[in-house]
Amino acid sequence: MTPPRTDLLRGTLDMLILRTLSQGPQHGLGLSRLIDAATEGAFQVQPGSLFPSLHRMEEKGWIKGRWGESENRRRAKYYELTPAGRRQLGEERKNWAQLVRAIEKVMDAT
Amino acid sequence: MPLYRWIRSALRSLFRMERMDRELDEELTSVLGMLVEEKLRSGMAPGEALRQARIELGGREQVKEEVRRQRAGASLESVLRDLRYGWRSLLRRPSFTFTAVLVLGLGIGAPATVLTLVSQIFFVSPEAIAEPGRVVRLTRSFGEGRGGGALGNPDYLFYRERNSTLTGLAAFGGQRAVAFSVGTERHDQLDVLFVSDNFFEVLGVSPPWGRAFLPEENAAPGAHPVVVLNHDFWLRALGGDPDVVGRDLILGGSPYRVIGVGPAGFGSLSPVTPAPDAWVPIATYGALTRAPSLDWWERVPHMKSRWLQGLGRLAPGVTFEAARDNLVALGEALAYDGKSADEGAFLQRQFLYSPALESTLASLSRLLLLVVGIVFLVAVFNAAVLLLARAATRQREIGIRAALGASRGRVVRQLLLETLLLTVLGGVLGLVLAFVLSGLAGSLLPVQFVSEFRPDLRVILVAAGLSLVTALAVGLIPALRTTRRDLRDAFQGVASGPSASWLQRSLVVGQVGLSLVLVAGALLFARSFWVARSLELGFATGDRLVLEVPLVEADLEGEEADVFLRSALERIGAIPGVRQVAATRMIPFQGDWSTEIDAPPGARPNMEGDKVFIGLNAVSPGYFETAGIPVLAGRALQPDDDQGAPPVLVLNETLADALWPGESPLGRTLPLDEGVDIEVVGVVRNAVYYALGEESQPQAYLALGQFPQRTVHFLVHAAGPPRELMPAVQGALREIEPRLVFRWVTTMEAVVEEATARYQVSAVLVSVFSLVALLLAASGLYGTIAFLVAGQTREIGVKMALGADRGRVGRDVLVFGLKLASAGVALGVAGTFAFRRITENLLFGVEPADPLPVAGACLLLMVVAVAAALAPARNATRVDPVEAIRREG
Repeated sequence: MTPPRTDLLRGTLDMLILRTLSQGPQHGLGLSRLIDAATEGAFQVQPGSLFPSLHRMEEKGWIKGRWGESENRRRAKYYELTPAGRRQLGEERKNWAQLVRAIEKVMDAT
Repeated sequence: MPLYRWIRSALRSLFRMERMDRELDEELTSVLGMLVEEKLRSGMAPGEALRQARIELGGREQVKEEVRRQRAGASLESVLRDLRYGWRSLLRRPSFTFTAVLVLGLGIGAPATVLTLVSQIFFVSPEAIAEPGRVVRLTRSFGEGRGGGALGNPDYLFYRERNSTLTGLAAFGGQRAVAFSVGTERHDQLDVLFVSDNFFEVLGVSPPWGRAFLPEENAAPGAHPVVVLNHDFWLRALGGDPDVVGRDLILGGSPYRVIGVGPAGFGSLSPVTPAPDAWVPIATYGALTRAPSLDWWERVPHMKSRWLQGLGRLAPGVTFEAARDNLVALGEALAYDGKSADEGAFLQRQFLYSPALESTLASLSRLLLLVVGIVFLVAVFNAAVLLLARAATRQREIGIRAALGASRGRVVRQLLLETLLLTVLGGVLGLVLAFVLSGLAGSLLPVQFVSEFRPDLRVILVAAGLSLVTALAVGLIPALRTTRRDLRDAFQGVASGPSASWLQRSLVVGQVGLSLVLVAGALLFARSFWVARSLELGFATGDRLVLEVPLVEADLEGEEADVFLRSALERIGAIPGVRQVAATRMIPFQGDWSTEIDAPPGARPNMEGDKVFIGLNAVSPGYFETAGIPVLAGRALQPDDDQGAPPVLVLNETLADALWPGESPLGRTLPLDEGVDIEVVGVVRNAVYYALGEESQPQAYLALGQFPQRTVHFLVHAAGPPRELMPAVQGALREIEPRLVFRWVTTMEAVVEEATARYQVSAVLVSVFSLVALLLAASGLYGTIAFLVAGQTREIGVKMALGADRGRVGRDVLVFGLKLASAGVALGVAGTFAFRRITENLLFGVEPADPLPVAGACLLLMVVAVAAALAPARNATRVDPVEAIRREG
């Protein structure tokens, strides 16, 4: 499946990242693999597309980056959710639900 | 994102650009590493694993670029990045950068210099004046908007009382040196300016010590001898005496009460007139100048008693136009004998320079602006050619950047920023040049500048604006062009050959054309100056000292004046180093004195109404010898021609021919002095009396001993440099009469130089700038031809291989250069037609349409073109055909 166009689904990508991180800190590659696995292959986010979002969210203070050691004792940058990030996740979840309901209304109408 | 956070991130980005870049790099490397491990674990071969990992990660630069774009302050950061890239790129090509900065520096520095000069001459006003923009100058107009004539005191009072648009109208005039002494020992002189009582008020200047004038102090002639001192004078001549207010100063032999001292920095009303040392009321004019009768104050104005200029302040809310209408209407209502139909009031916004200089300065400034504009254009064209040539060689680099994902807009922006860097550097160089050049200009220009040249904020802004405009103009086209080619061309490198595109060629042609206009102009002005300088003046100019000494004001009249003159001439003649000395009323180019009489019987009139017009002068014995004017018939004036002897005069050739053509005038008489017949005793050679290029003037010389004057000039013929004698001569004169005032001390050469000054200045200015333009055009020609030859190496090789001989190849290059030059020359000749009108009153003895300078300029430019094409032509002949064809370019 072609990777999602960043501009269209950037907000959604953010949400997915936040959600994934809410389950524990991860590094960039790990995030990509987790999202891939969780969506069962429907969302293949290339690591390259993750980085802009990661850094933007880091700037906004939703996630925090920290250098650490990966499973294979390799130096890697891990990201974890901040309290502000957690709040943002809640917001995004709410908005997403509203969006889905609105779309469903349109689709179900005759 | 909240603002403070954004600012923090932006600042962080800016300052930690390097570090953040490195971190990102590390992160990417780490992820790449992890990807590779992943692939290895899944069983891929190492090489394949690496390749796949790289593909999956995506282009590293692109990822970095994406991340950067996300950052706050991203656009600013990318601009800074571009600037740094541009800076490094410029440093990599030092010769190009140096040349481009030099060219731009010249192009921006020239206008900046001129603007500094012009603004300081025309727009600077003394700091002490309140709201100078609301001050206006009132003078007399001669019709057709040609103003600048002086007003009489009654005129001034009329305008002052009747106007409805000014809060105050002051008057000033008659600045002159008067004798001043403190006690009986010290005798000196100072410059006073006569002003009305409201002078300081109108200007908004308030003396920090004492006060300004009161209305009653200007009410009656001579009743209130008071004076306000200039701050500088007070410091210099009176030692800054704190008790000076209330003391008396002896001016012109009488005590004047010091009532105030002006603020520091206030003195001159324009950069071209020296500041007065003191201000006195107009009412003291009669006393200080020993006017023959004091009713000049009330007398109906005629030519001699017009000596004032008006200075007014616009009332709040009144526009300049309204005031002008008001005063012009009043001027029409002002009636007096001898007023011509066209005369009226003339109001001007700027009050800053003397009317006599105005038209010259204005013409010079226009010329200067034009010339400098041309140089600026030539420089800009030149820089554009340089940039085009350079951009063409950067195809590969740009192609790579495009392949890496840079958008066209981004590359164009970066190229423009690089050009901006260049022009900013050029602008800075230009400003430095402006500093230096405008300082030098002070010595070239004939006017006396009171203030030194300081570049002001406006000039800096203009230089900045010019830099910006230049950057856009010069950088945009190359930037757009080079990004237009597609990738393939870029990778083929220079094989497709940077040819001298039509744009480059037109720019070079333009440079040649503009330079031609300037060079032709320079030749024209040089010729004009040469004509003016080599004009036969009829009198000697070298080694002669001139001193103006007012006699009546030193209370030297009648018998006393006579005695004084005799001993003065004797004393000065005795000074070692003095060959000869004489006294004369009139000096060439300074004022005029003339009369009209009815033609006596037997004489032919030279004007209508049967009258004879005669220019006059009164001279001492020995004048003709001292001045170097040969006596052609009869004799010169002698010491015997004094009060007791019958009155005599000497004519010049023109007058003798006019009155008694073909006959000897000796022994004839002219009734010059109220019916008294004066005998003609000699004829002298014609000279120039009033202005360069005048028609032959009829001139008669009277004897000073018989017709004493209020003022004389001493003409001293020195054996060596005349200035060295100044102290001795002045000393000798002061010994005889301590109260003497020297109104003017100069050399005859300086007097003549002043008359030819405007021609000299124009010639120098245009020549200097035309040289600059010529150099630029020459380098532009050379560069373009060399560039073409370099780019066509392969073609040349092919030609040679096909049998063309080396000479032919070289000639082709020369012909190309000549073709470019001729196109430019043709353009330039057309251009000279357009600029004719501007040169009008700055030329002497030559017509703007003179073909010689244009022809000369054409020739010069063709020669320059050949010279510029020589080296490239030679390189072309040296091309090795085998090498050239084999090389990919």
